[in-house]
Amino acid sequence: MQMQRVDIWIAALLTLAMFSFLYKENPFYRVAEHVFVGVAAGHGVIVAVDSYLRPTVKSVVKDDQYIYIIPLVIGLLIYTRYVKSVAWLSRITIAFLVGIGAGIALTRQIKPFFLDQIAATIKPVWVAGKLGVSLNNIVLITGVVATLIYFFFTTSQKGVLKVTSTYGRWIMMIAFGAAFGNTVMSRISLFLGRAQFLMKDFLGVLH
Amino acid sequence: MTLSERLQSIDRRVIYLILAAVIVGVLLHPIGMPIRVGKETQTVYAALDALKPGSLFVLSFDYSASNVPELHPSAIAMLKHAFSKNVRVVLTALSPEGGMWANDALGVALQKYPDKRYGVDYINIGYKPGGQVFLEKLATNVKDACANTDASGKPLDSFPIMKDFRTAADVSLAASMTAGEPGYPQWIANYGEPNKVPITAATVAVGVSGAIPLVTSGHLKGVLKGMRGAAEYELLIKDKGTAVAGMDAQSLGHLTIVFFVLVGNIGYFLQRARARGRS
Amino acid sequence: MKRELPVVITSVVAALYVVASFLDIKAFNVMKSHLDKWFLIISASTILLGVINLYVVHASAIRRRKPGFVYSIILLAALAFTLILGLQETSQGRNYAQLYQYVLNPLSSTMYAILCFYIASAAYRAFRMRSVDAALLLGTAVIVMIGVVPLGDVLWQGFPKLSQWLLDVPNTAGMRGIMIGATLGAIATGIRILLGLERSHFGRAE
Repeated sequence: MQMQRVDIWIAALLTLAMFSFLYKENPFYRVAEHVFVGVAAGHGVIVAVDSYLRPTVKSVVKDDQYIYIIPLVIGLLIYTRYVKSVAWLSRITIAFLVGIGAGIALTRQIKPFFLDQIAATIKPVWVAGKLGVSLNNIVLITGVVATLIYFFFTTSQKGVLKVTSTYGRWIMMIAFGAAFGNTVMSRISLFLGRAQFLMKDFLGVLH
Repeated sequence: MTLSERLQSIDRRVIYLILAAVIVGVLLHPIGMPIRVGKETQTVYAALDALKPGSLFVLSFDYSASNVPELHPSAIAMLKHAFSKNVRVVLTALSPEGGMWANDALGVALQKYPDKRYGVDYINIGYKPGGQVFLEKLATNVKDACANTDASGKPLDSFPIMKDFRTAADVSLAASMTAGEPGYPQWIANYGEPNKVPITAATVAVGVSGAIPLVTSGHLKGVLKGMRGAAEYELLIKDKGTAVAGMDAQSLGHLTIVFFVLVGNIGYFLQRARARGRS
Repeated sequence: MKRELPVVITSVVAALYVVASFLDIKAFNVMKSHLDKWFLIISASTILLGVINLYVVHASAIRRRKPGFVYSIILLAALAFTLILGLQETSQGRNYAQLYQYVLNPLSSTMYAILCFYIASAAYRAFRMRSVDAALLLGTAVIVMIGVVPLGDVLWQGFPKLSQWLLDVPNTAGMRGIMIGATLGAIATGIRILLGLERSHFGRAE
């Protein structure tokens, strides 16, 4: 973002205050941390009001869409939780949100994240002339099945089940290892972003 | 203290200092290691590159400030690519801070393509709450989903681009710059799959492991993997930015962490060998 | 009534949503469209919840002069300032945009940037090849760490290839297994909610 000089100083000091926690906890860090929570919470409200609530209320009044007063009231019922005698009314808001959430889980997630994933796993275990592809397919199919068996707790895991679930655990260890490797990449990128800001915009030593 | 103990008990602040010094040092003196473009990045590029001029591309900013170094360069690069192909772009956000970053990305891309007109060649509908339900609504009735307002509060029907953007059927490709949820899983489940809209994504590197199964199952048309993916995309559009600039430092940062892991393990095995020798 | 009404509403709403999604009938499509819009309005109306909770916790800390209550004052002042400025000039206003760029942006970015150092220290301390499981985790992590950056190509051409194979094959197998299991769990929970068997989201009974 384009920055002015004083603003850069403010941003840089706040950045350094946050980084100071790496040495040890100190008042500069705690001030920065509390400012962060306050501004972030306020920002969430402002954006929701601007992007949806304000235009919706306007359209209720302007376009005579009085039907939408009902969901507005249902939404506002959530605040009854702060008044003990009528606190149960807040459950009506939760009921609507959870009901629709459950409806979506039951309709939209089944195909891409369940059926299609099973379909994508059903692959030939032998592809003529392509040993590498065949081996990959075998690892993929057995890996998915073994991972699922690892989470199968209905009967105690003995014999074949135990061997399979151990294989499933190894497959997951490889997946978690890959995830960790990528997490390192993520975290270093985040520091790089701040280092680029401090060196380029604040100190001007990077071009 | 023995050598094995010493190797295993380096003060955390020493590790912090060395890591920071390596990253800052390489940022100041880049090595210029070649960056190879991976297959997933090429797939994303090809999906956007294949769009016809005038078709609609939805770019969703599903991240906040904390993920900017990884995702913002991808968003800017894809936006520039779309503008260069004369593809019309709808910017939106599932993250409350996303609308701000959409504006910022536009600011950068418009410096290169100043002739693009708001409301004609592109529009920023900004952040809208509701996550997956917003996407359900966006697929069937854009005006309702957005309370008929763009990011700055102006009525959507006052813009010409909105005449051609009413439902998901009008969209040729959607891309989610995903930091977590809501992000590409919702774009796939609630927008892409039910309406047959191709979905592509950029993800923070943390999310790469979870995204790959969806790439191999065909639900994602490729994926840009963190800052590396952004750097590869910047190279493909021949417009180097902050991601390419950070790749050398990224490499050496990784090497530093691997070095410390190895040091810790050498210490551990030395200790184990000594203990075995004693018994 | 206090307990049953919300359960009935949840079940009815979930059932309507499921029926409307599976039957392509105009009346149902209209109903689903209304439900979606209602959800958006309801969820937007609940946005103050987090702020009120923050206020309750920190106002109480200030009243009781708890240790560090000064920080609570700073938090509430920052919150009030953001709200007043945002409501006055909207999130598109010049001053508000500056507040975002120069205060929230650096704070939020740096909060997460710190994790770069923690992950380095944690990897050094915790990653030990104590067992087969740990060796697989560590080995994969190291190969991926080197293979995903340009350095991998420079050191040995095999690093990026091996890293890509680990991601495409065993990682896909593990993550896909977890994804199938988790979706199955979400579906089971959805059915329990629809049938009114799952009530934990309403909190404890009075």
